[in-house]
Amino acid sequence: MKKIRSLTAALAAVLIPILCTFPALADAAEPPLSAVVRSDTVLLILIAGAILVAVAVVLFFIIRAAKRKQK
Amino acid sequence: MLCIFSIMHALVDGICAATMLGQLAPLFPADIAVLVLLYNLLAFSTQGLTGLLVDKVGRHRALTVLSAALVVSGLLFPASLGWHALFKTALVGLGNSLFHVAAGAKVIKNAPKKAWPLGVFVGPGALGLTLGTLFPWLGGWFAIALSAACVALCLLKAPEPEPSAAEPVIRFAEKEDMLKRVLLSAALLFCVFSRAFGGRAVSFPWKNGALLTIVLTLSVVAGKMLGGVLCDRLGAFKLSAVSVPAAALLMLFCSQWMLPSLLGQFLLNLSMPVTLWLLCVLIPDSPGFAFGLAASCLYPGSLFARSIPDSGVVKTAIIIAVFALNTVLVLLPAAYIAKKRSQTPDAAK
Repeated sequence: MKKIRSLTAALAAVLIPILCTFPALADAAEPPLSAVVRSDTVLLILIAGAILVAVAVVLFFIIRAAKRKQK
Repeated sequence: MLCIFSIMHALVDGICAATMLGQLAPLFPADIAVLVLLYNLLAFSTQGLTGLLVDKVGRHRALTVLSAALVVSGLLFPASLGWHALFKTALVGLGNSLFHVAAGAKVIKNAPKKAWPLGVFVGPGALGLTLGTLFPWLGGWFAIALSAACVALCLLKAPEPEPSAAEPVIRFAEKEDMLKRVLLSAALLFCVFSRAFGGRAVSFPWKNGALLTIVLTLSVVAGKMLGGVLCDRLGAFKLSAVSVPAAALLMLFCSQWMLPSLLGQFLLNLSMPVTLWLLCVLIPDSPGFAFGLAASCLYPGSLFARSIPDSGVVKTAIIIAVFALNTVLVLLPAAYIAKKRSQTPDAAK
């Protein structure tokens, strides 16, 4: 019952905004993202992302090891 | 509480899209692509770090409200100068990152044995993103609704989950199967990467208007929301074994037709809460970190999809290889966890 209630409420939350915006559907268009991005910018962003993820993983293991030592 | 988190998810993603594409794109048309890249970097790649922060602080509701405040501030901050645009991007990017891990970790903590709450939580995000992209003028209304949701979240007196329900699916002994768990987690992260890749790499020629974009988004939302329910019913192994190969076939060879494409997107997204739940089972003590780690692999997947050729044999070969690997790599952890659960009958309840 709880599951059905949650699903229904979440679906309603999803559908109500669509119904509200229905009259505007005909005018809407996806905004173009046509500006050219240099491939080295994309690479830089990817490298930055990889570094952030790697830092998080290393920190996770450091925190884990510290917790174990405390025990 | 799950309902509020789900609604907030759609609103947060909607506000972020409205800020980036409704406010910043018209003002800085030449720089918007770089700003969007920066936003995605902050929103996705930092989720591992914000996940660690959430696990450390533990006050999920307070952090969720803080993240919502960051996102609304990002929307309201003026955007007249260049550094304003950067600041707005940073506010919505970091707010988005914090929201996902804070709310996601709470959802996992409340019911770690079930995948369906995860599906219900992650599903509406796609719709918020689409609505914010198509109708950026809704941003203000989304902000009002998000503020109301924050008030509701603060006032809500949610009952604490029963201790048995909040137990992890598998209680691993210290260092038990450590290497195996690290490798299986890496396999799941590849699956997240490849799902983002698969969702982006295939183009749909029939999707030529706002209504059809919303219809496609609804199939994604339905897939994510039902994926968790089906995972609990059928098991992660059975569901993944059927849904991923079927999705690959439909999306690769039937993308020019609407109905098979919709079914393909639905099937592909069924595996989303499955991979997330499996990852949370493998990293039971750090739900925020597990959630964030999975999210941080979405962005490289969609970037990789843009960098392969638009059509031709090479593209088809890459997509087939990625989906084939995805199928194998999601089944390995699913089988491992099913085996472990069968060995600990108490945890399987």
